[in-house]
Amino acid sequence: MDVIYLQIFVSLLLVVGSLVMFAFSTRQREVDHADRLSLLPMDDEK
Amino acid sequence: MALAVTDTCLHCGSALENSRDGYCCIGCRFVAKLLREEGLEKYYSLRGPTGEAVTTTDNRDRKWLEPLEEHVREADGIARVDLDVQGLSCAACVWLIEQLFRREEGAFRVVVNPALGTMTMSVAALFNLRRFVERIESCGYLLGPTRKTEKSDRGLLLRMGLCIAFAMNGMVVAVALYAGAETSALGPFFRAMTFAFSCMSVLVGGSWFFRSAFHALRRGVLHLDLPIALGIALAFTSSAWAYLDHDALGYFDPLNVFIALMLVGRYLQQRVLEQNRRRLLADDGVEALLSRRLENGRPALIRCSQIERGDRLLLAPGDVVPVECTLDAPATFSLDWINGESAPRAFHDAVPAGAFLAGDETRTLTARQSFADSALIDLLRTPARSGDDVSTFWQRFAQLWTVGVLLLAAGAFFVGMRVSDPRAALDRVTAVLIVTCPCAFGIAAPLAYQIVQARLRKAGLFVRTTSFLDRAADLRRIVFDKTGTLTTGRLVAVADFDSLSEDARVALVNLANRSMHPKSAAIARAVGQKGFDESLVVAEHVGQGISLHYKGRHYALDKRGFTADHQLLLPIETIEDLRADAAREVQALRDAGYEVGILSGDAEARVATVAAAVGIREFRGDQSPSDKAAYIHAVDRNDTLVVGDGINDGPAIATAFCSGTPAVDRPFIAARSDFYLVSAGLAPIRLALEAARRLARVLRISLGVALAYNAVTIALAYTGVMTPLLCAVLMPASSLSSIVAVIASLHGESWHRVKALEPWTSSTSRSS
Repeated sequence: MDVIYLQIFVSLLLVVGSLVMFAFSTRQREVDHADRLSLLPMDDEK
Repeated sequence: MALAVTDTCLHCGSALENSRDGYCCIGCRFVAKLLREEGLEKYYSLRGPTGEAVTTTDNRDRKWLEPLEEHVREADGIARVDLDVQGLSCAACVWLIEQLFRREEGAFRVVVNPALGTMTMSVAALFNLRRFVERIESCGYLLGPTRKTEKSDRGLLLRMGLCIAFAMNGMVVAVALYAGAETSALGPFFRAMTFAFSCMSVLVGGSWFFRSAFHALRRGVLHLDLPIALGIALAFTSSAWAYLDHDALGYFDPLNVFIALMLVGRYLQQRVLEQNRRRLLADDGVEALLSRRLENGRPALIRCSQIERGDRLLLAPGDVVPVECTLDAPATFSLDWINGESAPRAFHDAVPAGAFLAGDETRTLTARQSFADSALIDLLRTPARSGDDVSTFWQRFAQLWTVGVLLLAAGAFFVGMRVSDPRAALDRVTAVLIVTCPCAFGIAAPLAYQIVQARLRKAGLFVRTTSFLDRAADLRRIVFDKTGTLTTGRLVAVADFDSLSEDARVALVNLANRSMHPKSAAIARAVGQKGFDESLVVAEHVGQGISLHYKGRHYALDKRGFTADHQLLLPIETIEDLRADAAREVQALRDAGYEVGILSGDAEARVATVAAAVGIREFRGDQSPSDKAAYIHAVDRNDTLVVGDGINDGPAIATAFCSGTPAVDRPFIAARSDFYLVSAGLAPIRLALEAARRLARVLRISLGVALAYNAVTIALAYTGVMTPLLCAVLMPASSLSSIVAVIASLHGESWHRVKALEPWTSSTSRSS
């Protein structure tokens, strides 16, 4: 039974981690210029 | 040849009405040529088959650039320059601007943000900012100083993401409870977790609706957020009471899903409108107007609001006269902006505020009034339409829904008390509050609006106000301005230019290409630039025309036409350039049952000519801005759409039930209209009206389905059959079915009928 509590704890850590990363990404306004970011990998003319 | 067989513009991909050379307008032809010359054809592969017509005008006032140029020149090292960009629509636009930026000397870094319509550059002192701005604007974009406010939907996006996470994680735990964990040792822990997720969900997501409903109530408006906020508050309170009182599972799981879905709906609703609003340069009204005042004999750039009576002003060709002025010498001015006159006039003594200098020489003027007394003030202070307006339909609906839900909840409590105890009665109240949450229209309706707005955006019509599509379904009358709306605002020269000798043709090229007068510009477009000689000198005779000595002869362009040694060589007539689809669209609108009219400040005879050309019987000329507003006030029974482009249309646009504009080169009118057009033609207006009617039908069906669903679930709640598990299944199922119904309705057979009106499809001509 104890392993379930551990699993839940680890799962919640992952949830919190992903939420923090999502909040960070939103604050960086990456979603605002996703068009530009999507083009960066094919930028061969720099 | 490829040009002969194409039925869409080679640059923007819109349908061609009268294909001259494969392009829908002069702007598209120019930009396509520029991209070819610069080796930037990759733009087309990045953009896809359709784009936007280049409808913005050239010769823009760029006085706002001067302080920025000084900032760059005086920078010690790298200077940062922030600009607002109008016209960004996709990744191809970003790529194009970045490529053009890299080709400039002193360019270091640029970040283009199409969502916000902004651009941030890092440049060295040798960077030629003016040339870069001119190159970007020649591609059809407009640049301006950064003025956009930071009002962003970022907070909503963050809330939506968090609430989706809470709902999904809460659902994982709830599934375990429904599967049997409720009675296990983990049951209390899992129930505590769903309660915790629900608390966070209400805190993060619910607060958005609480705040919105509170603000709406303070303004005396019954917003759709009120029943949503009420539903969240009551459902959470009753579920929390049930959990804290007797450790019941409660309706936390459906509530979390509900909040997440409502936020998705709200985000969808705001996203397109926000993007459409940000796409334009910000409108600063009178503060945006700049002028040059002579101070100690030197011109100084000032805000027009600083102009006092007696000030000496210096005007360059294309500049606006900010206040009524006395002229030092006669000059030609265009009154198009303030009264809609299509042809410029010569002024000898005084010139009114709002006129544009149309000659090709600078002029010195003396202000006869301070800017506070200028006639421009009233026109520029026309209030802007709020983008967050709520239509009467949704207000009434919110009112009925709120009252209905509260009565039903009271009824459930009464029934519960009659057949059982207070705890069971409260459970039934909770069930009613949960199942009547306006889930179906909270997500399905915003999705329907989003689909229609996105489709209109693709057609070149950008909706700015929330309630426009609701109001557009009731329209019965459409009133167009003439100059710049039914016409392109340009003139077309009609003459047999091929009959001229080579010398005469070269003389005409040199005359026409040296003047900014609209008639000269029309002739220049007709004869081209071949033979243009920079060394030749052209004399301007205000009110008389322009003249030139070439190979021993005296050539002139005057009212009669083109003369050589004072003898008429070629009579040249100029006519207004109708939008290519104007006549067809007017006819189609009349066939659809709309009354169509013209309201113009131009001379009655000119209005009559255009009205006859497009097939409009109802027209009025010589209308002042207040005349236009009075007329609209008299005829508008909440069924009139005004489409105009100048500030003389501002009062009429503010008075009308709905308004739109094809003028996006100056943000003033667009910022006060329900929609703006970026297409070369008027076809998107008809598309919007058809789409609005279609949307109204879809919403009625969607609401009918929601009411039927609620009738069934309320009956279940009243009889005490409703359980959290049943609710957790029914609520997302009803939302999903509503979403599928909306998508199917808007993409079904009847939507294709609307789609056939779209100007970029080859079926356009068939539809008319």
